[in-house]
Amino acid sequence: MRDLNISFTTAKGDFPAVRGISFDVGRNSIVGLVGESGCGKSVTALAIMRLLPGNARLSGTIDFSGRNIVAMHEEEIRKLRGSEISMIFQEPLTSLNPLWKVGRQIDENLKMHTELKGDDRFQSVVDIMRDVGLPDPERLYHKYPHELSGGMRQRIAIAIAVACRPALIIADEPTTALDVTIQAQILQLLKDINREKGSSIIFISHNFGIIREICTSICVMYAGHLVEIAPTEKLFCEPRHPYTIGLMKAIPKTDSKGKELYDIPGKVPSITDTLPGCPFEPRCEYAFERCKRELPQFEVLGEQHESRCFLAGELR
Amino acid sequence: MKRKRVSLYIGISIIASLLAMMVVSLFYTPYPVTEMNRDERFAPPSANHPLGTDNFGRDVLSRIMKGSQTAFFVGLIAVSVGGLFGVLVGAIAGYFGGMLDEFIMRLMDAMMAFPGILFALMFVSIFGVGIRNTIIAIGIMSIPSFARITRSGFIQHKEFEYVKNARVKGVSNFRIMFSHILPNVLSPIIVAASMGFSSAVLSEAALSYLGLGVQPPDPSWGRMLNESQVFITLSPWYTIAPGIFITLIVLGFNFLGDGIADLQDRQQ
Repeated sequence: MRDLNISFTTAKGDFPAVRGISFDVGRNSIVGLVGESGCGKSVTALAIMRLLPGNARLSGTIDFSGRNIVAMHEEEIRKLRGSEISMIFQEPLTSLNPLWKVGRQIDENLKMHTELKGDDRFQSVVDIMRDVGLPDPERLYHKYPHELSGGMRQRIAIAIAVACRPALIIADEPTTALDVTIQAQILQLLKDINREKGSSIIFISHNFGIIREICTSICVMYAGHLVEIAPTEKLFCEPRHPYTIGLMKAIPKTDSKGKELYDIPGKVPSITDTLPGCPFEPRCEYAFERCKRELPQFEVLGEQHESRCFLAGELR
Repeated sequence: MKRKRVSLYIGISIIASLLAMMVVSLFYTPYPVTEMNRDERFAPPSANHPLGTDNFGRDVLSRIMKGSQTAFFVGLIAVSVGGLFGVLVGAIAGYFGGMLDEFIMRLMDAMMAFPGILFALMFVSIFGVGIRNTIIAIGIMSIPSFARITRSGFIQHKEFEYVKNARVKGVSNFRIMFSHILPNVLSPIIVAASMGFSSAVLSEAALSYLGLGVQPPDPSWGRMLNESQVFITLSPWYTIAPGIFITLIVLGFNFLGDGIADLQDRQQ
């Protein structure tokens, strides 16, 4: 992705939701997209699938194996959806059609994107269900979503997503609605899929714990901007952007017991506030005069580590 | 909560009985429908003629039975036609929204603002009387209510995650609308169909009463009402019979529709 800009055109004017995002997702990597609600991570994901509403304007390039997704026609991108790029959503309760058997919902994907027929297809669906850890798949195939638990439904959603062995899976907070124990299983499942089937994953979350657990590199977003990218451990050990540092400080640790929890002062700007300078400036404890006027460019700090701050090289 | 099921049961019983009568009439009626018997004109209800005879000595019961065929036939075809187009139009309006939606809904509003019977009268005046045009006119009248119900169902469901999931799989809009969303929206459409049926029967009776609907020799309860009104003092049963049956079938479908709607409410 290079210089992706997304804005929404409304009766009240154009609102930029995402500005100048650039990052790479390599083969076999799991890239985390982190940020607070409203920072533009879901919008970015939808942009990759070209599923934004009609009033969205995209510019920049999204290069997928040599083809620019931003420039594609609807017909071209529809062929990619489900077969080369797929998406998993947050809410397992409503993400499956309540009137269709769960097996059929996986089957639809294969029917549309492969030449398999009848029994072969049924067998494929059953194999996929087994791969994602569903017990007794032949019987489960014929059940309806309301007969399954949340964790199982999410596995079905994952099965639908991996059915055609996509090159890229976008997981938008797939574990947020699940209990912690199931969460762990689903994360492990995604890691296995990444390793064994070779699908890259873009993992969107606002939970740093999960991100650290599963991602190989992380993109931190704030107010529509990408503020820092780094390999996972680098980000946790050497954060180089005031926002990232603030987020790290805000994560409760075992020794914070009894102490007041740290909170980044101020609040996230609304989409209608467009500042000329750095978006984080109002809340930043390191901010100085230049930050108000000018948007920082990316400072390269090392191997795949970049930060969008004038002070990136000097922060603790 | 057995109380709530009463409507359903009443509706089912009435319609089932009338349906049974109609099916029987396809093969057998106590007397041939057109057989006239001068000696038995205006005969009151008796063992031979449970509903009496009319001014030509024809058996009223047999004519009522035959008339049920028209009632069901007109109702079925009109509701199917109206339902098919109404659902199609409502689905498109609800799913795609925007200017298309606005345009379609204004059209529907215009259709609903026009009194149904008046429209039907206009239609048959222009295109001629008879069963075919009656069905078409009634069918057109029933399009708006199907369109509204379908549209609101689609507007609701298109935001649901399973629709997003289907898009994300690369499913075409057409398939999403008719394979995914429509089955989920079917329940209120079925209720509308039941209510639509009773409307259709009533409209047909009204048109036929005015002589503009079903023409002789096709039987019709509405036309029987017209034919019998002159003789109301001589043979009241000739008037009462079609009146009762029209009321029954309308009540039956209304109870049925209510009953199904109650069932759905309880499922929620």
